[in-house]
Amino acid sequence: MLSLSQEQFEKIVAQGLEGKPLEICGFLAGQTSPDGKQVVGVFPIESDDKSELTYSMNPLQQIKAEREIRERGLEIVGIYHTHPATVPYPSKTDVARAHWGETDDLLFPGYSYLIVSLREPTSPEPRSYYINGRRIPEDIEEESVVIE
Amino acid sequence: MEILRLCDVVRETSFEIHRYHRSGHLEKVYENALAHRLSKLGYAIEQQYPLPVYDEDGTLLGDYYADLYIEKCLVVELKACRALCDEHTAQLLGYLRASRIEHGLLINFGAPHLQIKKYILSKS
Repeated sequence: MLSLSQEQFEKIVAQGLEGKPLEICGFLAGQTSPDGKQVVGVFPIESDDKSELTYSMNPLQQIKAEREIRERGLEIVGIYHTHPATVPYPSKTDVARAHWGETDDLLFPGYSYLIVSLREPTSPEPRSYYINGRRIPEDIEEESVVIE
Repeated sequence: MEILRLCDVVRETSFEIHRYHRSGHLEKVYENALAHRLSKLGYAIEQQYPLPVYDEDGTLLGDYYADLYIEKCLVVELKACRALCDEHTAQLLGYLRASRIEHGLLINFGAPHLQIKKYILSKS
């Protein structure tokens, strides 16, 4: 289960609507417990892809965010991005880029992949997944998202 | 925490080098570039640093040569190939075991996107 506050969710949606029609992305930082993941901070990161269909975190901003998260005593619990015009389900590119190059090694094992669909801008639709491998849908495991 | 900050600097510098030079050069070019830029930032850098390997009875078997040894605490192994593979990881872990250094970075400049892996060989 991935829990985030209404304010945090609205921050992601605002970033997504501002970036639309391009995909936007960032880190979710927080804490993990047996009950799930509690998001404490949302860290927007520029996408180098500037694409309507894919995202790619700017590496320098990524390192900076990782440092800030570490120095705040938090951990990265997930990665978020938007689908500006499509359903909130991982694309082939999302799944491929969750791996190390062409290997089957996961880039961020255990991270949640939160996707917010903005196809209906007034009712953004969040869904979160674990990407456990390359097979779609077999290796895509949805987790519940709680916004409170 | 200091080692993590040092790793951040090496990662940032590597990205800047990759952005400027892109892929396609020989490994030595990236080694020299990283050594040059990190030296300019004030870090102590040793290139082709020999790491002795001993047998169980203490006999010297030979030397590994780490591409970069930074601030006497971080081993960096550089590659300029299409993709990192298990053999590269094994090589870096061999360096760490031989030298009893805990922290290592494996960096591949040869792919369109820079690839970096960090390894920690726990003393326990």
